[in-house]
Amino acid sequence: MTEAKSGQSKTDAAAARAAKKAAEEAEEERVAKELRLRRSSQLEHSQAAVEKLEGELRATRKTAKRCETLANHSEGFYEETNKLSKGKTLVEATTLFVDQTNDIIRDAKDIVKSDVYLDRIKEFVPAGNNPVYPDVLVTVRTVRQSLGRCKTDLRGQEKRLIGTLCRARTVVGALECFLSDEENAEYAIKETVETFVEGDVDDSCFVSDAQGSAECFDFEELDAQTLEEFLSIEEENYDAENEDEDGELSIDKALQDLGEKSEEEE
Amino acid sequence: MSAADPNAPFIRNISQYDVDFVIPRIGVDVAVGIDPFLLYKSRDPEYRNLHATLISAFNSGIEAIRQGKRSEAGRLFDFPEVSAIGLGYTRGSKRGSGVGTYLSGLIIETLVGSPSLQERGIRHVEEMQLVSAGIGPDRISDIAANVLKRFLIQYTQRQCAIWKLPVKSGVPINHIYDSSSQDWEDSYEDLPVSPVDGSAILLVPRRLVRVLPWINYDDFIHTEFKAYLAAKRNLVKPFRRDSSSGVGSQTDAKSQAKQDVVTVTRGDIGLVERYVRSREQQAVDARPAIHYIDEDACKEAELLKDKLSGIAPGRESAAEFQQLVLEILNYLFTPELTDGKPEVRTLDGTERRDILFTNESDESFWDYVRTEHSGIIVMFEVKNTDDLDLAAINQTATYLGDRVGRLGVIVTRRAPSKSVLRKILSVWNDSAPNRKVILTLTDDQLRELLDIRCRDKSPTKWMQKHYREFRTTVQ
Repeated sequence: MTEAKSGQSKTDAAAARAAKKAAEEAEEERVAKELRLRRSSQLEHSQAAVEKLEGELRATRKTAKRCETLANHSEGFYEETNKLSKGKTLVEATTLFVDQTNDIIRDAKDIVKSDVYLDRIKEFVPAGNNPVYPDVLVTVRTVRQSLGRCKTDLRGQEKRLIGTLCRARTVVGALECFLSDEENAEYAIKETVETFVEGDVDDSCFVSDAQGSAECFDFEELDAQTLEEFLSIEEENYDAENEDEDGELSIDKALQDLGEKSEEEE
Repeated sequence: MSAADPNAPFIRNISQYDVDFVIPRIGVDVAVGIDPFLLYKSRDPEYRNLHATLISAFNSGIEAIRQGKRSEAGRLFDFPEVSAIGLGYTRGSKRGSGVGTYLSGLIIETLVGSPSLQERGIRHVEEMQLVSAGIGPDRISDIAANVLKRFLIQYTQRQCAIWKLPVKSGVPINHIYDSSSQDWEDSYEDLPVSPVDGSAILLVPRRLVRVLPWINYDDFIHTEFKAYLAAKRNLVKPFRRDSSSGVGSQTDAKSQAKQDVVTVTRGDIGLVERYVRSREQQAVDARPAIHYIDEDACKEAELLKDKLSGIAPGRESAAEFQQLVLEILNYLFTPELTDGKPEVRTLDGTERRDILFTNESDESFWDYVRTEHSGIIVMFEVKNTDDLDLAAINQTATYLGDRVGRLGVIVTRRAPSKSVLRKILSVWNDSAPNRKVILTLTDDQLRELLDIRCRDKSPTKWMQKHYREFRTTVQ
């Protein structure tokens, strides 16, 4: 009797354990499923961000190229005007000079945004009398200065975008790694993530594991904030390293601009 | 009346600066003449047609000579002096010698003696100075006045209406050329009359008068003929001998020299042709005379400023303001802008008053306006209000176009509000590709312009700057 009772209670306990285990497994499975869903969503967002950043980088490089070309053209134009206008201070420039100057001003305004000094420059309106050569020279000089400033800004913007893009690609790589069927993929070890990323990964996205034996992607940090925040925090860090002496650069603004431009493109 | 100053102007209460025509003097001629070349170079099709009529009339006479119809030529070349215009070079009198029958005969004789001229015809009546010893600048003016008399009558009547000058009905006026019948006719017209002898007075546009015609004998001698003499040294001797012989008066010598010159030109009409072509190429420099205006420009500017201050804004004074604006614009821009015509029309129950000027200028800015804003008319809309509204801008924008060009100036009393300025900019933006420009002129700006003119500076330069400011604002 006692043996029978004892056997019964063992069976119940085993069933309870099994049930508990099953419940735990079900819970784990649910959590894992939720996590995969979340990672999938994060991946989707990250891929979109990468696409947007790549577009922005292409646009910036294109603008930089245009700026470079115009700066080169205006330099030649300025030098030639300077030579030809020697001793002609009060002589009206020819229509060709005026037309080309106006083209330079117009093109520069198209490239350079938010430069107060360039904003003050207006195309010449001959209205019967072309401007004199010194006026043409001073104007082209101002435009060239503005193009110079623009070139520097674009270079900085390009660097920032490359950094952000690298980080965004690392996030995509880590998420793809996580969602892959590979063993221990959920830890997204740096070496494994690298196989998912074309080019370099961003080291700052990884943290050492508890044993200090491997560097894993910092999903905790990623989960703690939105993707934009995750990228922008690092932008700020990146920016602090590359900040100009006057400390004027603002990544938040750069990203904001990026978002606005993307919206415009859409 | 007999004690009156012969130099006194026929119209006393208007300044010569403020009107489009030459104000005749009571007892003497104004020492300028009509220069047909100014008709030739005009941008106004009406004026160019008048030049064509003049040439056609003269060439008809030449054709008659070629066909041996001397009496027919005599009838066509009948150019008595037109004393009604009050222009000429006779000192102390209003009666010059006129071409008359004697000179009619001289013209015929000249043409008969020059088969090459008969063959070529003339491009400008001024050429007659170069081939006939008896024809000088005054005769050219007389010839033009005779052929253009119908136009001068109509112009005088129009100016009398604008300036409210008294006219007499049925004033006899003779020898008016009718281009369709190629004949002279007499008529009775409503015209102003001389207070001295009651004869008709014809007003001549300021833009048509010069001291010497652009194509003239003296210039010919110093340019084309001098070069000719240098090339043909054998002709230099007799020419020099005649002009420095010391026998008889200097006038006789000069007259003999001209006789020699015309002998050459009649034989070699190519000389005349080359000279005329070169003058045509220099047409931009052929400007109307203004030296005969002997009034004080600054005094007139002050007077106009006082008048401006004396007119209150509002509909009641609209007509008075419009008239004053016409005077001011004439003062500022004649002879660049000419023949200002005030117009009154009603649009949507609102009275519109504007002044249309013909842009005859060779100044670079007005030339630019003519080309850029498609038209030889510049419209000034006159708004006697302190508070220019959007409706006024809309009206002006609607009115600008092919007929009056695409540059309009609103003359108003005070600087327009920001919303009006925005509207003006939107007119520019919305009118691409044929952009419409509306500028504004306020009392203060008119005063500034009057001061500029008083200092003998160019109001046109100010307008150019004003225009540029607008164009850079819209960039």
